[in-house]
Amino acid sequence: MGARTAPGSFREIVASSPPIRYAFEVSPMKIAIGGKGGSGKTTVAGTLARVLAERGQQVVALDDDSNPNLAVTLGLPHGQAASLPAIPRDWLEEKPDGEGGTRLELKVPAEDFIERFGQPVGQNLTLLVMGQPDHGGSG
Amino acid sequence: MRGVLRGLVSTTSHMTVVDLEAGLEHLSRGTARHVDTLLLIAEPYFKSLEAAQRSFALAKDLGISRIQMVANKIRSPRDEDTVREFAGRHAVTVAGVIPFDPAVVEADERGTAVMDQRPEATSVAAIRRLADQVLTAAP
Repeated sequence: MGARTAPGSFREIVASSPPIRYAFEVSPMKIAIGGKGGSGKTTVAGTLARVLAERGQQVVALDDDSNPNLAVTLGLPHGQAASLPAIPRDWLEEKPDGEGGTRLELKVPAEDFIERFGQPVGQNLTLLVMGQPDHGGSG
Repeated sequence: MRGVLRGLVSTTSHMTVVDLEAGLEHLSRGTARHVDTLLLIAEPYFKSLEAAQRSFALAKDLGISRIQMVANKIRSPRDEDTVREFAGRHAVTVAGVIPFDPAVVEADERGTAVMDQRPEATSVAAIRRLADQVLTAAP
């Protein structure tokens, strides 16, 4: 900067401050995996999640498939992955869905939900199987 | 559960990997808005690529910012070319190429994770490269 920076001036404060970290620089990446049934989608999703966790990322793996098999590819023994139990009513609220109806929305912070219902899988990785036993797979 | 999924994906501070319902029909606009990268898994066969094409259209309509293909179960250079050519025609990049791997078939049959069953498997190595690609490519 060519101009003189008077002590206590705005310029001086900016010049001497540490670099600003903008929100988008530290925002965690959200990856979705799609594909036809049988394409290998779940193997890729689960293995990718584990690779990322191995590298030290805190990863949440969400199984939104109506045939939930993500647990197996994460290395959980067969039958050990639990679907979500009934979610406490006060964790959800009805909100307009923008199409004339309402939808149940999560009212609590994601991290609370993950801590309560997520299954830890080794280091840095948590699994949430989104289906609920009482529902017919719809949402 | 769509509202819950949206709430989790949008507000969690964890890196997130979502194994989507096959076909993407249940993916809401609200969730899609928060997805940074959609990886569409496709095999080098007409039906798989045709399904991927429908998914592109849906995903673009939902406004997902980055859509990439992953070629899976590739047995030959010709298989790879098939998928790359298809991706090129739809102006979509190929983020990864995963070889057909008997270790995956074996792991599926045993109900185990290929990464545990055969950590040195070629498919696992390819998914590690896919992780690099996904993490480092600019949006």
